[in-house]
Amino acid sequence: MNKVITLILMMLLLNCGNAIAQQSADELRLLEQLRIEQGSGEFSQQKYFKFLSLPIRSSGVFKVNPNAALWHTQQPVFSQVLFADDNIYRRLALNGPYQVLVQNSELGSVLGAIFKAEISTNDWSISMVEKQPCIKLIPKNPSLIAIFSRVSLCLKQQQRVITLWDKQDNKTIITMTLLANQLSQQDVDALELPH
Amino acid sequence: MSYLTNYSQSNGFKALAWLLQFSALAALLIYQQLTNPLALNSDISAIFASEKSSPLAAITTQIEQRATRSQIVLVGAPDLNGAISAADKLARQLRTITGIATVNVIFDQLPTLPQLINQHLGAKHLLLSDHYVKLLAAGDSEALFRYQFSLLNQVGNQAVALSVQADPSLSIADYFSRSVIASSGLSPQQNHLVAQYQNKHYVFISFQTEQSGIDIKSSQALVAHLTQLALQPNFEYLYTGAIFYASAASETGQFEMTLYGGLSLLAMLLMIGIVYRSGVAIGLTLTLIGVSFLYGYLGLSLFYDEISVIALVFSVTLIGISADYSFHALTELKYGNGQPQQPLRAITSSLVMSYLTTGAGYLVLLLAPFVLFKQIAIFTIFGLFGALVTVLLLYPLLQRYFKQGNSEITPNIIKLNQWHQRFSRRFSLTKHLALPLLILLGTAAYISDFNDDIRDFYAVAPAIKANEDKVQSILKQKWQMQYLLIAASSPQALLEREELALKQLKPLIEQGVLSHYSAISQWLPSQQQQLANLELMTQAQEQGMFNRLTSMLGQPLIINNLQQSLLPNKWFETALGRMFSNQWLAIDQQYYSVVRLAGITDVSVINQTFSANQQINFIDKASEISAQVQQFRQLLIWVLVAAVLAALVVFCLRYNIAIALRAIVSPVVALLIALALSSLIEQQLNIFNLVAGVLILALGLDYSVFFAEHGFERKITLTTLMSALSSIFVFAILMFSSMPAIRSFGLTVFIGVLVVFVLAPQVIKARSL
Repeated sequence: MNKVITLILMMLLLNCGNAIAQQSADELRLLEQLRIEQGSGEFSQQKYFKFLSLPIRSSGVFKVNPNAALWHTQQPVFSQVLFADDNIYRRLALNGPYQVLVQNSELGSVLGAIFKAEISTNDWSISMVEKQPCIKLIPKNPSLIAIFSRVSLCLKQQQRVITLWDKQDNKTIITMTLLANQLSQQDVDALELPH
Repeated sequence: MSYLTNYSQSNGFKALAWLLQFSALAALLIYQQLTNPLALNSDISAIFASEKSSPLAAITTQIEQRATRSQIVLVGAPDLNGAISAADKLARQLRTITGIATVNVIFDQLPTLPQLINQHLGAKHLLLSDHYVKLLAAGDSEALFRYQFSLLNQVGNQAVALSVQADPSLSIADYFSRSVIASSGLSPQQNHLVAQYQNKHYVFISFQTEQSGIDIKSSQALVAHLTQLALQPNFEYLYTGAIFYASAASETGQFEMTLYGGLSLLAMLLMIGIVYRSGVAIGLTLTLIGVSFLYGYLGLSLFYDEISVIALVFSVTLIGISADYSFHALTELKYGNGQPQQPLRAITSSLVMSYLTTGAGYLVLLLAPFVLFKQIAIFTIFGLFGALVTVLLLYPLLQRYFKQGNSEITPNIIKLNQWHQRFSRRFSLTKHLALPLLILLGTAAYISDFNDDIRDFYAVAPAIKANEDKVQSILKQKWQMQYLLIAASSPQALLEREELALKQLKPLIEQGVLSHYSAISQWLPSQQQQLANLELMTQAQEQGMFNRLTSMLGQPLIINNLQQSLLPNKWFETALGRMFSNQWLAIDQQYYSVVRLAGITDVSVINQTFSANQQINFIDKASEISAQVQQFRQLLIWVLVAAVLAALVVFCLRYNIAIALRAIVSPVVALLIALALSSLIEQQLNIFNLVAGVLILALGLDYSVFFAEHGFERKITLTTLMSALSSIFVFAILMFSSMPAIRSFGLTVFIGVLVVFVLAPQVIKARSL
């Protein structure tokens, strides 16, 4: 009798292990699909403050390569944010100089990583959202905990949808549409910090 | 019978006198060692520290001592938790080390953004960033909105989320979007400060020593402990701070003192053994050197709490000088014809005069405004006194050991004496040396220059330098020892003056003269500036510059024109104020603030920028001391001239003008040749070459005294030769020191002593006339 119980328990455990392995594989597969090594596209952003009935909307284009990511807001006002070398640079006019927004910050590297779906398990607890092609990220790193309560990355058709909740429960939804996997020379130049 | 009685009475008195002084010396030394033992300091600026009594100097000293006491260790590991637990363990170990006052590894009191914003929201619209002020002043609504929208739209900007409802102008959000930790590369994680560098996490530990000069044993024990820890394969321990420099320097100093001192002593004892063939001679010389060192150490203990590492290595020179007294006495005891009651009578006055001339030379160094030279002077004057007392009181007691066996001077010395006499007769300073000397001096003057930069006097150990560089790379920036010290009679005047200084610094950042600064007024503007900010905000609101944003947010902007300014006493109670408290000092109704600087590429530009303003002082201790070194160097040249003239007067009074002139010319020519050759070899001269000049003059005059007193006696040739050789052993070996200052000193004395030995008998020509 004991042997039978042991066998059943073992089978349950093995099934459970398979489930975990299956889930991890799904996460990995989805992360792989979400990952943007290189390319360019369009984005729209909606920032919901709890005290506002309507979100703050903006839209523009993005460019990504293995070393940097450019976030170019075109509407309603021009701004360019460049994530490079763990720093965040910003300029508010096309011909203006980039100013360091955040230097040597984990935030710079983490935001850059979120946009490219390069998620480190050191910084985040990763789990799948049931019945949805979404990954839920809970920050583990204290400096990220101070900023974000959670993040979700979803793949909807050809769009990547990133939702970030801050500590005050304000929500930012970013929808990214990848239009090209290749970068033109002009795009590559735009990802370089001008000297 | 009465002869024997006199003899034993005289010796009994000498033995008693020597024992009494030695007992007193030992008692004083033990007392000093128990109550106030000497610490070692390797801080090059402390070595050259000058005594100033102005309030500003007192404050800079206070600031510098605080900096010197502060040390940093970074514990690195690929895994964050591993690095943190290793750092915690090290912190616990550091707390058990004597001499360490505080250790900080937990930084849970760092202000959080919600805390900062809550504590400053009451002063919203009074506190504006420079960029925000610029946008308001330009009156360009579109540019202002673009900036505000970029803040609002920025992902992860907590300052906006925390303050937008209370301040829809986003001015306070913008104010705290700036980094409070001034881009140090560190960020708080698990209550620790952590930097990420090349796939490793580095946990920050800071600790403060109780004194600026921690004792050698503790600093070496700490470094040894860290070195041991660094052997662990998975962890990296990087450190920087004065204690680590002190440890490396003290190790070098002790090593060089032991090695060079040991070699010099060995060579000298070998020479004594060969010449005097007596174990007693060796024993006496060792005793004399030992007593000299004890006297020198007592002298330093009486006047100082800390000694410099360079002074420690310089102490080796005492072996060479004090041994001279031994040679004179041993030669007289073995080859002289002195009475048993007073066997050293013939040379007593020469020895005393020699002590006075050498002592006078070193007394000149006491005039120096620098601690190092004073320490060398005190050590040597006290040490030589011990040597003189030992020679005059102890040596005569052992006369009988030297009168046994052969008391004839060896044939080699006789030959040398004859050669010396022949050379002296044939050689003419004016005929043979004038032209080559002029050419040599001309060439040296043409190609050489004086280097007064104190940073070049001391070489940092490569391991320490590598550590320092890596720490700097990991922390991204490190505040430099140079800073602005601003003074004013009230807190508001001080903040206004600081704002003026920052206006002058900003263009220098654009020019690349420096990379960052950190000042209180960046976070607490003066009352005048706060009111100006409020007025700008009111005007902008009246002009409708905020309308676009407020309509987007649906929040009205209310500006209170009667808002009370944020004042220093209240601000220093906030979490942010506490972080800046060590940059603000109030002493006797005077207020001082420190503007910290980083990434300086051109000190002279900053110096020039603030040179006209007496209340904004650019403190650059190294450059300031280098300027003082330059002044002292110029003074020292005149002091050397004065010393020569003084010696000329003394010689004139004792002998005549002809002897006096020749007695002076030899050391002066030796000094000029030594300086010229040193300059040709080193391509430049520094103050240590001139200090070497003091010793050349002192030794040269010493030789002149003996030749003037005793003529071409064989025993004088013997003693002078032994003295020259012992000096050469000591000083030539210093040329191998790792410290550039000591190398320069050794080279110049070496050349000078060689030349003076050859030229010194010139004085006899005048004597025979």
